[in-house]
Amino acid sequence: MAPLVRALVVVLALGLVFGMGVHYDSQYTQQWPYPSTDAIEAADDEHVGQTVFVFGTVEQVDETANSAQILVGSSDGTFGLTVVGFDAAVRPGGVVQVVGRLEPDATIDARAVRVVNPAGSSTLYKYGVSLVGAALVTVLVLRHWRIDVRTLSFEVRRDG
Amino acid sequence: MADLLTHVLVPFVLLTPLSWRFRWLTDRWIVLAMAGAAIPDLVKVGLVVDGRVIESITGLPFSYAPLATLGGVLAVTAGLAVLFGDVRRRAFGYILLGGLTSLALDGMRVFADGHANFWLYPFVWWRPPTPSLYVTSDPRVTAVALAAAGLVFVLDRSRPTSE
Repeated sequence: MAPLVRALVVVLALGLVFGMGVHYDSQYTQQWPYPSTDAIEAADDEHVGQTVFVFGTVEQVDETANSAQILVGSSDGTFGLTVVGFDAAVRPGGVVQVVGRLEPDATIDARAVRVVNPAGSSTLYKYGVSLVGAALVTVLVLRHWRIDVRTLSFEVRRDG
Repeated sequence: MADLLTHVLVPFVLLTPLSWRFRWLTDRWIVLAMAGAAIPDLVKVGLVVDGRVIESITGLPFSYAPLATLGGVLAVTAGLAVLFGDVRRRAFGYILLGGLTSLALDGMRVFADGHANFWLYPFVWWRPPTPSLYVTSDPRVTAVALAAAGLVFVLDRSRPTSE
């Protein structure tokens, strides 16, 4: 395969990924079976009584009242929600998933709360470990394959 | 999704024991599967260049999420495999295998409503059920992957026929 054809296929693949990115984002709200965070933020009363599913960063937990304040992302940034029936062990800065019924005053009566990150430091751990993984796989690939810039291809390292 | 280290270790753990049986399954192909396992993690590009930046530049809605779906893995695999010249078909197979192991692993992580994300996109808009086995930040997942990879590595190196 000529380098030009190879480059064209790579560009096509990138174009396909971009096209999927556009299509996915434009269709996501219709396909997601719950009201979007934008819809909850814009007119939460309209969706009162409906089941919602949100990801949120914990701001404050009131263990005695079994409630928490969470920040949820939207197109315009973030907005706050109160979660009652909050029974998860998580510190401020942690991330949770909440499924429950939307109540008036931006409140969710939680049916299920699952902890994604128990604390803000969990994110750092996650990305740190991922960086190690990226370095490992890069080193291993380059140990067995070399990049031939002239032909725009990977060649087997004979000493690999 | 599971962390990138866990993703790349899974194909190593799965394929290395097979290489003891099949001589054609050499390390150079196993590392390609490991590289393929990293494809869904390309969504983390969004940490560097936010999707909203792409939207403001192009004027179109945009999400990196398809990179962690079957369609995204197939497209990136195709783009990578053509860089492998005469062995591109074989490279495609191993890179894709790695990507699929990561999608399968991610399909088992926790979702509060018991359904995973749309990882079969664009072939179907469906959220398959998930056993909700783990969360990404759970260090036990990485520990299990490291222990399994360490065991496989030691066994591989202790084999008299190993390269």
